[in-house]
Amino acid sequence: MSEILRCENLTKRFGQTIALDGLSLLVGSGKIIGLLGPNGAGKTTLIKIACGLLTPTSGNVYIEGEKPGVRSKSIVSYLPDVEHLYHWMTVEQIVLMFRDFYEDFRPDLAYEMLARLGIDRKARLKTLSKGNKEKMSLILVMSRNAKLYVLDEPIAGVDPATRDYIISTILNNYNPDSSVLISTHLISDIETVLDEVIFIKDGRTVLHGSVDWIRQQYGKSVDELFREVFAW
Amino acid sequence: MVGKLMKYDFMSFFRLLLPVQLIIIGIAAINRIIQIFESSDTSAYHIAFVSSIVLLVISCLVALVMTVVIAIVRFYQGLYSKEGYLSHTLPVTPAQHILSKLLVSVIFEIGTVFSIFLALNVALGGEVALELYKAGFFLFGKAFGLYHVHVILFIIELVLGLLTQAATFLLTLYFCISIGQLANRRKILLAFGVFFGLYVAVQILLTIFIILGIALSSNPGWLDFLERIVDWASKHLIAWIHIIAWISIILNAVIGFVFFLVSKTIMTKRLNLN
Amino acid sequence: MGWNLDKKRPLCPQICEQICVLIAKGELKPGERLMSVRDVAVSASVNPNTVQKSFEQLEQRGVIYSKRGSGWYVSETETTAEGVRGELIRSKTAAYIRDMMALGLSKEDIQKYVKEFNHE
Repeated sequence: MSEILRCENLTKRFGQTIALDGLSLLVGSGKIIGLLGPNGAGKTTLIKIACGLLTPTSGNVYIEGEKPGVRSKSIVSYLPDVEHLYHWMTVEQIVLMFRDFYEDFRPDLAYEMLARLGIDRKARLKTLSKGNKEKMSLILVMSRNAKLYVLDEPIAGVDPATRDYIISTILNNYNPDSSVLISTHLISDIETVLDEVIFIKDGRTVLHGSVDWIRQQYGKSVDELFREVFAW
Repeated sequence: MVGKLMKYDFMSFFRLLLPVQLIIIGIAAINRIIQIFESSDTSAYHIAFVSSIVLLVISCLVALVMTVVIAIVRFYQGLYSKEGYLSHTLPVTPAQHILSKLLVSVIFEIGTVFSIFLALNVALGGEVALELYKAGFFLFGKAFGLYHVHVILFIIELVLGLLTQAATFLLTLYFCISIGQLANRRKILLAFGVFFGLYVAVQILLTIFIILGIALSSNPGWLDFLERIVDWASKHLIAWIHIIAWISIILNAVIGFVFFLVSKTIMTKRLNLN
Repeated sequence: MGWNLDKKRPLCPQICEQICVLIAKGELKPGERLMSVRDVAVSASVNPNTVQKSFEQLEQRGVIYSKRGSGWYVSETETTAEGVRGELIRSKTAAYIRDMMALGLSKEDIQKYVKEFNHE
């Protein structure tokens, strides 16, 4: 197992609020990892720092041993929790844009998945339904042969059919040598696909272990353990 | 990479600015059509003619302002709004992002000037425009006869001066926006504040220079120095114009470069998307 | 096929067991090709590494075997299905008896209940 993502003592403050409080973690390759925590635990902040969208107040983050930069961005495939695609583009234009910038992007695969959903290549992104926009973003992200996929709340606020679509799209397309980091607070929907979980609370890691180890150790589902750890 | 970025920036500018440029040419065409009825010489004709001219002038001004506004909006949206989540996860450096936005904005400013030029040609009609060109060439010929190659140098300096002026102005705005996004809330308000602050700072600096100049005027050594400069300038007027032109070009370029560096550093070290 | 997994217990043994059931029932014949790891993962919404581990455990028990580059196959030994079936019956019966004894029933009581149980 080689190291893909390493965080050392990460702290991030926004004015008075502390979003991350000395968080450290290590993510190896070939794993699907759940980043679990209640709203406001610091999941999105951590992800944004790893993707180079935020700078930590202190501490370091390394992607394959390097700080976020052009190289890390070329091997990390990121699905943010906001609609980030340029809404004024057509489906085809955004696919071509991904092809232009990411060497690991597979346009044929993206077109194939879009065709299966019945999304028209010439359609403008802003005319797509909310569900199709989300699927479109996921398709673009999963059509890359990345080293690390970072998916921020991919299943929040979607119906069960869409959730199944999202999970199977992830499982069908991720590169087995790479790792997938999925942040969510909806654990029971996703826990069976995870290798490992990282629980974060108040900007710190409170538990990091393999899912089967948790089931064996506690005799509980990850969801049940989560409810216990975060009970108040 | 800058080329690829420019391709997509170009697309985003094009769809916003093409309508604006088509509108001014359209209004110019309407003005031209109205002129067909010139012989009727009724008050209705005069009203229509004058109002279409006014409309043309206003639309040209609006087009110029719009080009700058769109340059600002695209910079903010593309790099500091939700679109920033995609822009800043592309394997591209902040410097390349800024450069792409800047080059495309300058290209479209040139494009707008060109559209206005085209619109005026349409409105004036072939004969009048032709006369104007003839007059222009005549003047150029006269000037060339008097000052030779310097005329061409002046034109090059003027164009370079305008381009650096435009680029520095845009980089100043980028700087304000970049400082503004450091705030966790009211980013745009802060950007306006920074812009206003810069304006005030420049005014204060100018005032200080003027006061300093006046204060120094009692100093005979300083007065003597000024006198010698004026004397030299009046004897070497052409050289003097070249010097002034290049000083302003270089000064603008330096200021622009400093603002570029600050924006780049903010994007590298202090990106604050939310 | 439908997978029925209990999230409270490790998933690996559950996947092994459900594949064994398919073999014991004859739905998977000796020499027949299994679904790929990825297909099982997608259809059961389970981590591919977990499926891989389950397949490897079944391979160690001689229930299935892998062919390089072409996937996983049910073992062709005549007795495989029978063996798997016997093992399933033994482990399920043992589990049932353990649960009943925990309720304080004797072996005789259990036999009585099983005999009288009305299977509708």
